[in-house]
Amino acid sequence: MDGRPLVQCYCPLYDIKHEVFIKNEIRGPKKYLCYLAAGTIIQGGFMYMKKADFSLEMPLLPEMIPVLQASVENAAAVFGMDRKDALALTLAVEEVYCYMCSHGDNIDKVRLECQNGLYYVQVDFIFNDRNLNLGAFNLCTRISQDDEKQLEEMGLLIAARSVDRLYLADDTGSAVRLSLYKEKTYPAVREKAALDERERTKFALLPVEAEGLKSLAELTPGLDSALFIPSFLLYPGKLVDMVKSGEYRAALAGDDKQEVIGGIVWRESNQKTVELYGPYIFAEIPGMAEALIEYFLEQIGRSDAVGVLSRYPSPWLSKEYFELLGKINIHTAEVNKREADAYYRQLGEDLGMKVWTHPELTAYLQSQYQRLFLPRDIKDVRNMGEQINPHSVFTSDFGNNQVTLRPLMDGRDAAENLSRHLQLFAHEKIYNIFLEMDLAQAWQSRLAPPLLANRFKPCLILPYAGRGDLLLWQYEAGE
Amino acid sequence: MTAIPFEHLVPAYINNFEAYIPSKPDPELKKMFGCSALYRLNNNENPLGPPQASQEVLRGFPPERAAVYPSGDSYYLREKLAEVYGLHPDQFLVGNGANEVISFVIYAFCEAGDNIITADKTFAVYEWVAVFSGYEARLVPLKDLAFDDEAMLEQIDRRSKILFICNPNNPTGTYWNQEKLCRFLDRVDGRQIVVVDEAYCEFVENDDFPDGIALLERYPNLVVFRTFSKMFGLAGLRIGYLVGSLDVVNIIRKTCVVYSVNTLAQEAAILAIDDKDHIRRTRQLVAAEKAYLKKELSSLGLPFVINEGNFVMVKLPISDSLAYRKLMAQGVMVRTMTGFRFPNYIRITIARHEAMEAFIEGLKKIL
Repeated sequence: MDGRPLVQCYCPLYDIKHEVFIKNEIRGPKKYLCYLAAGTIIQGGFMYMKKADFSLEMPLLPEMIPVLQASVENAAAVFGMDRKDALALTLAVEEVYCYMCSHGDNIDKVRLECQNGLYYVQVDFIFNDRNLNLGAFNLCTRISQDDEKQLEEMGLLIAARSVDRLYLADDTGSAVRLSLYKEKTYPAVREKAALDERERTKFALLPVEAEGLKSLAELTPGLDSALFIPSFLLYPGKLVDMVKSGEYRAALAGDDKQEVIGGIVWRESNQKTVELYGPYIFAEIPGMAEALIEYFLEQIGRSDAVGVLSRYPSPWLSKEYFELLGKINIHTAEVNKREADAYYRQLGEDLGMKVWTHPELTAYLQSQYQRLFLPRDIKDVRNMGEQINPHSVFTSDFGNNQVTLRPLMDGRDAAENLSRHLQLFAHEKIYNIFLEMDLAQAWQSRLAPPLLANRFKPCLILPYAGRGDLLLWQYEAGE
Repeated sequence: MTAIPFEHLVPAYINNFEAYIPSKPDPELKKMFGCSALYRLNNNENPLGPPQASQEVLRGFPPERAAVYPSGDSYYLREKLAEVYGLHPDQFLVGNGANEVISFVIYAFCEAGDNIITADKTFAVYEWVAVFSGYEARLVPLKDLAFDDEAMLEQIDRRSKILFICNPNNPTGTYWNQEKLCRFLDRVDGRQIVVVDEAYCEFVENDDFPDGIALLERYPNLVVFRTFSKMFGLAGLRIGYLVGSLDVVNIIRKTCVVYSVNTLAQEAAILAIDDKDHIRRTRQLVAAEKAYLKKELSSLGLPFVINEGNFVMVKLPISDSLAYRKLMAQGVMVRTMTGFRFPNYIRITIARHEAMEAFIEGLKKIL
């Protein structure tokens, strides 16, 4: 070792592992990034893109920042991200790294993993300090320019606002994984498409191809305006990339001229739960919706998934295949709201599991699990005098005039922190506010009192949607 | 601090494969679902248990023999099978259940880039073993709930090594008759291995049902699977076997795990195979209870599939997995069929009348 920073690069696509010493130019990362554009596979008549990714392992030294910047910026460009988005992601990564350099006293090295999700780029930081203060990731954080300590956290705030989503999770061993997601920008549907008026009586399932998916995306906005349409269906190119990535899948129904007249989309949101969108039907033909649903269920029947969740079902969802989970309120303005049913079904036998609850939540969970016939071992979480972090952290995931909060860390300030978030959302005129609590993580159930104090109500149990079941809370303003 | 990237050590076909998690033992299930008794109608077991002579072997097993390894290749059982079927003992390979012999055949004939061909809605283990071993499983849709011979033949290419036919098919109970099976084997013409899984053959009484073992001389590329788990009630001991031409079995022997079948299973199986009365009594029970289910399911207006085998399938107007949980709460355990690619169907094992009544009563309550 001659004291120069060492970067380890690994590119699993080509199984290349290499260590490079950094002088002034950035050799290692650039060299490997040039490989990353390659890699397509053909599967089932549809071209899926292989997810090329790479990793860097580096010490926490400010002089390494150019390595990081160039790696992420070049990777994002190679992955097809436009310059504005690539720079925003690079900025977020740089800010997180800088913050770690100055605050991560217990961190010796950090591993950076960069992945092309086709419609997004994901950058993960893997490090070994669970106590690193990430409080500034809270969307509602306000930094006072007069407070030097707060200014140090400005970087994290910038990072949080530069990406679309971020998650913090336990990784293998004692490590923590902080994941930043930045989605690519796509053109929206230019105008609502509609089928011609001719009578249609027959349908058949079509091979899923890019142009068919675009037709689905172009026809969907023309459906009843009261219908919940996921935002990605407004961006045809995005839908194509989502399916190409293999993360989302779809089935299309066509008429005798092979025009798209129906479709269904699903996403394996984690390894256990598949999120279903649709079916969307543009020509009423008996049995078409059922055929799409049966096809979908046959496709995932032997997959990793445990269950299917339809949070915003279309009117064509055949209820006999699903179970009513519960209801959520959809607010179109501060005072206008309507109820929407959420549906679920398991794909096999329920194996039971343990869930954690705060005593204030126990009766609710017992009644819901009984109603859903889900066998659960409900365990109370009690504070036995152990220390709790001073600062809580919540991430905010926006879309379709709603926001979903996810706890990253519990903290003594949880009630105030939630209250600050609510103020911010009110200011932004966002009325559909949810929080997802993972009942497999005992610390999250401690958030029940601050949630209740802030007029959140538990509304749905989403079986297996997180590490365990997720409990969805909804903020009920003025009730 | 670096997380060990285990994923890089794991082949993609393993990473993409779902581990099968079997159901929990009865006491755990009863606790989970709050039921005091449990009728297990999910695994197609024989409610009469093993034949009498096998039961006596189990009762009289000297504990000290548990310390001694079993015959590594089920020597006496193979001799017995050879005697019963008039073949050479080396034409038989015994495994820890028929599931194990599926692996033997796939490992013996497939290498990277090869494929196997079977149906999409059949016993899943052919597909699973192929996929988690890194081979392609080509799944041909059933036609009228039966294996589609023409469509299977169309799927054959130069990398196709094995065609798996479940006869009668689990879970639809349909079967290929002698003529259809022979026509298929003629078309394959020895170019691939054809496996006919006859796990449920002893339940079929129709004259046109083919005896695969009797066809071995005519078709040297044919391999037949049989099991002691279903008709012979030895599922808990795990024992099944394959039989084929000497040339083919000598190849499969190379991938056969020896010493995997325990002493009790071997000895119980030897005595089970001769018990014709056990087969008669089981068939009688299955026929009577199928008739009962047919009548009850018809009166409930539920579509059902009742063909050969000791099982029936019922299509429900609710999710099969919800029905499973609701029936479990009443002490009745059925098989959900979405995993078999039959959404909203459940499969029920034919059992004693008391269990069938409990199932029907349970069904009435939940619908």
